[in-house]
Amino acid sequence: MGKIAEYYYASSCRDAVERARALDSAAAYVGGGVELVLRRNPGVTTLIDLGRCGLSEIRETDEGIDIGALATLTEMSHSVPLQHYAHGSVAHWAGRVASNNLRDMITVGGAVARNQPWNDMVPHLLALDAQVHVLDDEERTVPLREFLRSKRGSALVMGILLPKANADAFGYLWRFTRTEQDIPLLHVSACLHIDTGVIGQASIVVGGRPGHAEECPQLSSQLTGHPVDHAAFAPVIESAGRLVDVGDDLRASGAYRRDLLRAALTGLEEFAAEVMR
Amino acid sequence: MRIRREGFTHVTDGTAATPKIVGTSVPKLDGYALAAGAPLYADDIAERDFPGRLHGRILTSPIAHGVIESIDVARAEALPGVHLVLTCKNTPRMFYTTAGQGWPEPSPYDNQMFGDRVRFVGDRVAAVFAETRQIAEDALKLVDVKYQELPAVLAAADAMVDGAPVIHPENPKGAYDASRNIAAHVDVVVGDVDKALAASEVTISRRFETQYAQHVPMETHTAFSYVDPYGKVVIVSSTQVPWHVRRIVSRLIGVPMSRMRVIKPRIGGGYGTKQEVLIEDLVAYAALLTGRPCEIRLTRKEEFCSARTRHPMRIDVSIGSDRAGHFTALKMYVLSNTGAYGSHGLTVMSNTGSKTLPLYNKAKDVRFYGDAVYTNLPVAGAYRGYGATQGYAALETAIDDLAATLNMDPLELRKKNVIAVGEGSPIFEALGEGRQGVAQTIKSCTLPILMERGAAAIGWNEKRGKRIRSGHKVRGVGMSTHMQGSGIPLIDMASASIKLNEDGTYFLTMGATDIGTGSDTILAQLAAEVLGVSTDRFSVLSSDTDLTPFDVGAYASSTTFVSGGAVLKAAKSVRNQIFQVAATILGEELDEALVHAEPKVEGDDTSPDPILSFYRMEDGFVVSERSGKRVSVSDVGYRSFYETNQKQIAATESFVSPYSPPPFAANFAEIEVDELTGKIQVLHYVTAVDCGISINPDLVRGQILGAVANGIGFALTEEYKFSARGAMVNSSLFDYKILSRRDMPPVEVIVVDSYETNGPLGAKSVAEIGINGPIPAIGNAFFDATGIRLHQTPYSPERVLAALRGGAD
Amino acid sequence: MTTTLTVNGTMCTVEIDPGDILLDVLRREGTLEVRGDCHTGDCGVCTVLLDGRPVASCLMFAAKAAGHAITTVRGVGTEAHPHPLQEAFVHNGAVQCGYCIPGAILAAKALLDENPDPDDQAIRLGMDSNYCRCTGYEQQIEAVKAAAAAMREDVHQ
Repeated sequence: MGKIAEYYYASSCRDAVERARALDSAAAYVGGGVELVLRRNPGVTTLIDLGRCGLSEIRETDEGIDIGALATLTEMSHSVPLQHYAHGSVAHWAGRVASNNLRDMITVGGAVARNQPWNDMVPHLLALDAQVHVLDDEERTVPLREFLRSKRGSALVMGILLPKANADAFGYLWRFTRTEQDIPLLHVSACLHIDTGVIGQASIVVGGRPGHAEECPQLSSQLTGHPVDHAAFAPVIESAGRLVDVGDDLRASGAYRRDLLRAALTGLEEFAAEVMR
Repeated sequence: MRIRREGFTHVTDGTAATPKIVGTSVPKLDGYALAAGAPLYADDIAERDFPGRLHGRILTSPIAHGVIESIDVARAEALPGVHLVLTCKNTPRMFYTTAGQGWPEPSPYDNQMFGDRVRFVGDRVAAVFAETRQIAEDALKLVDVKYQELPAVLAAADAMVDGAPVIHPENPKGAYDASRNIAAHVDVVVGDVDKALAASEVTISRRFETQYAQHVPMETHTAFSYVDPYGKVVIVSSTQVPWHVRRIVSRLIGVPMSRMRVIKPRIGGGYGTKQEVLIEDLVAYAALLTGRPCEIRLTRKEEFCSARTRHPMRIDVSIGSDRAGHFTALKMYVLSNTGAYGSHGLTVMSNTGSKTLPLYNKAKDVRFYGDAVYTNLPVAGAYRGYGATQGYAALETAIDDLAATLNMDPLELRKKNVIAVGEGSPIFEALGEGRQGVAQTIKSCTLPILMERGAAAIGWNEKRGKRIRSGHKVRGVGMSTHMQGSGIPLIDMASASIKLNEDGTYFLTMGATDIGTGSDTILAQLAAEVLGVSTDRFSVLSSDTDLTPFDVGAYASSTTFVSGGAVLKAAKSVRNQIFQVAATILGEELDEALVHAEPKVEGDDTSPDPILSFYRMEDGFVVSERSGKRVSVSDVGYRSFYETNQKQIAATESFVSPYSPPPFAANFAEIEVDELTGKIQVLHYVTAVDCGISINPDLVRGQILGAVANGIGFALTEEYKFSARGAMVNSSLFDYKILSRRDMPPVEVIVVDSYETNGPLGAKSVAEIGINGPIPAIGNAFFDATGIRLHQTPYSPERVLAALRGGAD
Repeated sequence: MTTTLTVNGTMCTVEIDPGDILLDVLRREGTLEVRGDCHTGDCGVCTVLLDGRPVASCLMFAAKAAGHAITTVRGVGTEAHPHPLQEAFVHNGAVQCGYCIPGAILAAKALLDENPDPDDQAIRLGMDSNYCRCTGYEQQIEAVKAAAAAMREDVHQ
């Protein structure tokens, strides 16, 4: 962050976007503000505060659950609809990742817009096939995976939609950290539909390593249609190390991350078996 | 309010007299102020009293080893708001040590305020003082430095090899052999250890390596300085050693002690790192040159890269034993990495032997030797445990391996070999803090009870060797035993003054440096006990070189024991003076010789003070043992202040101990190992401690818990990581992981008091010993769970998993 | 820019730069019970309550805090009128160097406001921002439980 010349309280989402457009890359949206303070961008001279844009609400709609972009992790963990969605995985983990101060500062919109490699919400939302409400020229809803790939410019994340289709699915989140409030060395999220002992649909996402969270269709497809048993998971666990690029950095070697990947998918098998019981 | 102290057992055996104040968990005298956020720390005071002060920032070396070819500060000086730029060109050139230790200083004089050579990434190059921190920071970027980079030594093992770059070619005074990068060397021999090992029925040799780690005080090093109206340079510093700061800075910048005053406010954690003069010289010199108050507060990154660390060590230990498990020989070689400067290099290494080997005094042939070597890595220094932590990591895991070889219960093996009351060790005499030690026999020790109680609490007999499994997780239990010391015998001196106010209250002033430990409180408890009042009759002032008497400072587990001795003596002296006046009020005879007898800590003569057969102190009164008559201390005060033979009843006393009675501990850990990830989870940790009489059980417990938490972090997660060019790459709390309260297992503390006659009212030290247990206890539990030995810390998941797979750890 | 901060119920108008961080502004204005050193949100020392929720003031724009209620530890209790949490901390040896304590007390306060009877796990989770290098946490956790019990009794009476 360079010398900030202006702190602008946007009166509405439209106002925020118009302001941002006028300033182009010199403006940044302030949701929680955490990332802006931590990783200062010298080009930014105007901060656009979204606090007055009414983006904090979490509510059930016909399409699923709408989470306002400014909802904090703590607010998500307290949300009754989220506590029931996908058997509560989003709410559970929103209340446990990071640390208490940050859980009250990190917003879901900020997590998605920034998409840091170590973020635990983005891969889980990806696994749950979340959609993003975006405002630029117009208001539109795009799949999260598309949003993450797109050039965002001054587009404003207004909120996240968790689709109704996954409301009764089983959300799985596995993260390996050195200490409890550490960022993950590896993150694996999954969404499983299990019907009468058979995995109807599976979506596995890997995150937490260098590089952004990625869906792993090669792994997911191996599970789809199989009964929940070891025969279904064994090949997934076996092949994961070859199919997924886990990266290598200061925190952990690639070889160790592949071990963690096995542990995560073994955990997924145990989770599925637990669900069956 | 009812507080349930669930994980705490305090056992007193009832043999000592039953004191009233000592042994009670008096709340810390500064507790409410601290809990209410009163502005008591150095930066609070600077912000409140000197809003117009200058702010200093330090330019540090980006390279591990090099010579400064040129340094141009013109552009930095020209930046508006910059008042002073200090470099090697405009500062004193004297060589000194930053280690705040006694005199003569045992650490080599290998440091300069600023040199023309840089020896590690983080070494001082220049300092800027400016109107704001931001301006100072901006100015750092304008200092133009050209380095000639030199080959660097980036591993201790490379330091002594032929042809290694010489890090201190200036051959510092006090360094052992600078041409071979050896800052310090120790070799202490008792008997013939190699012969004894060769003759032993069983021998075991093991190597253990510990890592770079840091104290991580929540308050980074902070100091400010100003020149007072009398021309005196006042330094307010977050220090553990105000007198050593005064001595070192006074000599360095050439200001006599009469014109220098060091004040220790409340400080936000020390653990050894603030036993070092890191910034005080800069703020004092800058205040002198600019005439403005000047402050430096290290950033977290600077704290990691440029402050002090724990000496990483590679330790080779050999134990000889007979088949029944009686130790015959102990041999320990230490390769200690002192980093770019030799701060505490000799003394920490000495303690690696002197605080560990005497515990197993049955071995008759002992050798302890080692080298503390210079490298181009961050500087090591004093850190809670002070070398003993590393020594126990090696020794206690090797003992476990020996137990396995002998097919014995490791607890039983230790019981056969640990030191007991009435016994000594030749090591006590042979090895002190960097010089010869003093002979001593153990007067107090409840170690057998500690082992028994700890074993029961962890479920030793039920769980050991069972390898209880749940899926891919397996459990194990491990234990270790320890001793430490209580101050440095014949070196550490403390003094204290007590004066009586005429209303029967007292003013206690002492050099003792309360760094959060609660020493102000427990020392007041000692005085209150002697003077027969509660602590609320005391006001306390400590650690101000102008206003309080001398004390070496808060280190070496010395405050309770050494400073406590001084307070005890001062209290006795004041008490005797009060008796004298009381006797005249009561019209009774009292032998002058008894009044003026040198007050003492009990020592070998455990009979009560003779004067106590005439009078005793009781609830603010003097009670005559002969007549039963009473006179209030307030009456004594008024009489001596205003009426007859007027004088201030007061005393200043000093204490030096010829002994350093060890506290003892037995530690037990139950862990669960995840065989898929290599993560070790500590499920339950039990620490049983003998610290003599616990003056304040809650504060004793707090010392133990804090040390254990730090120790578990050191064992599992805390670790410096370096780039290939020697720069620390994880210099933030984001990447250097200390344990949060979510990571800590329940820790059970069992304190079993003994009575140490050489200590004040039976007390020994407690501050450091707790940090020594986690590495061996957890490592031994891992061995119990898996049959695999970890030889290197931290026991990080990646390393543990490799060990589980049979790879080298 | 001129903005209005409400600290412990008192509104004060302060002159700030738009990019100023709340921690720095609070200290500059003499709110010295708020401290902090990491400036990365990792240590918890700088915790304040914003509308009752704990946040890291070192990661918050001061301008963002305008219009919200900021509570520091002195808004919870003082030496003369300590809060039960402060009482319990002081009486259980849970305060050593004291540097982390204002943050820990505030996190505990927010926790108890939401959950008057937290178990060990809830306390460890609800205060996990607040590092303490002195105490090993155990006595602080006991203190929170003791204060919670005392406050529940108070409510019943």
